[in-house]
Amino acid sequence: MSFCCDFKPRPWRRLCDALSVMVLLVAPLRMPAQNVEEMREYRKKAECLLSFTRFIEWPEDKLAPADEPFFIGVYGVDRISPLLLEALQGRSIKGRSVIIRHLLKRRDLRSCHVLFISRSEQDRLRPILRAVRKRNILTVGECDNFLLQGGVLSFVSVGNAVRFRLNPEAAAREELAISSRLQQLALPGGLGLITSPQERLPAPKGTSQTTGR
Amino acid sequence: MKSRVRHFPIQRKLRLVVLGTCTAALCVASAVLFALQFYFFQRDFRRDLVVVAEIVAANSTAALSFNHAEAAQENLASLKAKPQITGAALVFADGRPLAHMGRVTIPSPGEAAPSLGFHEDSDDFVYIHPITSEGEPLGALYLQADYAREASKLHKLYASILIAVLGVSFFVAVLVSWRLERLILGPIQNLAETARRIARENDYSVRASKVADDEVGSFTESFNSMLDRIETRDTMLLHEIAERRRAEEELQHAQTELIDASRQAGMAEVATGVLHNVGNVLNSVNVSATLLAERLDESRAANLARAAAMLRDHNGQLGDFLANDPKGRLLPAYIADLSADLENERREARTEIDLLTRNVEHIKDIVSMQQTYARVSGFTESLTAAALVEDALRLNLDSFMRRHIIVERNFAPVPPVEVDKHKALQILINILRNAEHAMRDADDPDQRLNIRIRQHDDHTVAIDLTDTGVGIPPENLTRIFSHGFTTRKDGHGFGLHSAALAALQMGGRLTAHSDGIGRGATFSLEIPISESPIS
Repeated sequence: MSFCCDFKPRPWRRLCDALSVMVLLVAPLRMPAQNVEEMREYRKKAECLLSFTRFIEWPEDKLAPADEPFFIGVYGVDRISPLLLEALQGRSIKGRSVIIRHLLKRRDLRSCHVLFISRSEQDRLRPILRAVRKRNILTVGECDNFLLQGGVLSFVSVGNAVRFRLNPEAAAREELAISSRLQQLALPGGLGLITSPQERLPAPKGTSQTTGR
Repeated sequence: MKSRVRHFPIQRKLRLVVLGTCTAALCVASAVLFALQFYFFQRDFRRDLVVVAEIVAANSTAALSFNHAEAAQENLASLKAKPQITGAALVFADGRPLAHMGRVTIPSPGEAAPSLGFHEDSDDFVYIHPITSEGEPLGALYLQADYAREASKLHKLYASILIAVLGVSFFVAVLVSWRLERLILGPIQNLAETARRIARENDYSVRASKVADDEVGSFTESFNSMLDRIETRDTMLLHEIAERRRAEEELQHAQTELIDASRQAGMAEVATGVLHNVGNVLNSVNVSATLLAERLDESRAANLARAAAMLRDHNGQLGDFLANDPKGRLLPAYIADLSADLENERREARTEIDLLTRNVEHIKDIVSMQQTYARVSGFTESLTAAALVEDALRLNLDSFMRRHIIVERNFAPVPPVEVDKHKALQILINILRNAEHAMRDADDPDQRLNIRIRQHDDHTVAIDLTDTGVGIPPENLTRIFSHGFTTRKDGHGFGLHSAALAALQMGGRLTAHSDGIGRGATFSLEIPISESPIS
């Protein structure tokens, strides 16, 4: 695989961080009118993203060794990283320290535990998702066709609220154990079809996968 | 109350005991059950709330995490299945409510959150359960449950159950006790009935029937064996009564015989007394007779006959004979001497015969006294004590003189006494004879008898006869008046005995005193003073 790459050395990471900070600083200046609304949306998405980790179990191989940090990657235009940091408030995930990294290169993708692919990558979803296939990565997107392309979770905006859809096949493929409680909250019609929230049927208890949370 | 119960019949007591015990046991059991039920109810109520809260809380972590009010509401709605839960709410860690259902009190934002766990809010329980995810607090679940209503429902249910159980148990207890009390009461009543029958009919042959081998059974056995014994004793008693009656009859018979015997014995005693006294007097008679015979033997009456023959031989020449014959010349003087001698002899004989006659008279009196002996009070006469003493002395004078016993009289002037003369004489003669014997046995040749008459008290005169004889040892003093007691070889122990008896019969008393052996003795005869003048 051409995207395949391992952990980047530290100087590179610092550069990434610096860039993301620059983006953060530049963004409000660029879109002042949309900004507030977008901030609210991404704050919710950041919170949800962190919450997903509570209800999803990764295979043991993916989490070994124990002292490795929990890696959250952001691909594409990054509007979420600072909000993630804000929502995280120094907490740990799965008992590990958390690293949030804006990925510019596909090579870095595979080392993530969670990969958020932003809206900007809507057209390049297929190759990106293919690159991280079967790497036990929770892929989270915000495009309508994200699940159809093989993503695991996809944010959906329902009015002001941020909801999500789930692709159970993809979760199974990635060997991610998704808590039934999360499944219950997922909007139905997971594979890209937009349905109204009213039509959402609660998944019957106990039938879904259980997690060892 | 207690004393009233004590007088109840056993049947009622037994029923009281059974029912009381049953009721007490039931009450205790019910109370314990009640308490346990309430304890368990409360515990289970809390436990139930906790369990429900745990489930709802676990199901609500995602809803809280994703701020999903709809899902939260749905979770809370499932609590409607629990009627005791009146309200519930899901609250974020910062106090913002996510969803609520029914009536529930949650702190308004900014207000301090109450502590987790149970809170009692008047009639309600409020349970606050924490909701965490991976050790991080997400929020809390508030559950409000109406404990009072549930509890009162339970109270009512248990109260009615208790009343029903008590009622049924009481009824069953009555039935069972009714059946069982016969088991205990039957034998007791049987016993009581038997006892009553025995008391009523006095029939000790009745037996109580033994029903069982219990305490009452053994009691029945004891009762029956007691009855056996009573019956046996009854029979024995009847037998004994008959025996006793027969013995009584025998005794009466024996008594009659004894009376006869004693009468005969009395007569014998009297006869002995009579013979004794007669013997005493006969002694004097004998002495007098002997003296008289001696006198007659020595009489010179024969010499008179010789003188008479001499005179007859000189018939015709009597003057000559008397004048010339030497014998004839002595004859007149001799005759005069002889006649004087004869005269003297006659006088002495006369005296002796008088004494003899008196003695014979006394014997006659003694014998006649035997015929009046049985009389309680013999013929009494008023006499002077001195005369009595003189009479007695006279009867014994001879023997006294022969023993050279000096008699001293020390007579004080006293009132006349009222006595049966012969009894009194008999007593005095007895004492005198005893004194004579005592002095005869003593070695001292100088013997004297002191007779003293004095007034003893207002009603009696005492005659004290003090001798200088052998005396009486102290151990004998108490016995000398007993029948059969004597210290003399030829004595029969009757004299003093009859003398003492006679003194008593006269209303007097005979006492003895002695300082010991060789120191003489004093006999005192007390006799009553006469009320009437001397007859």
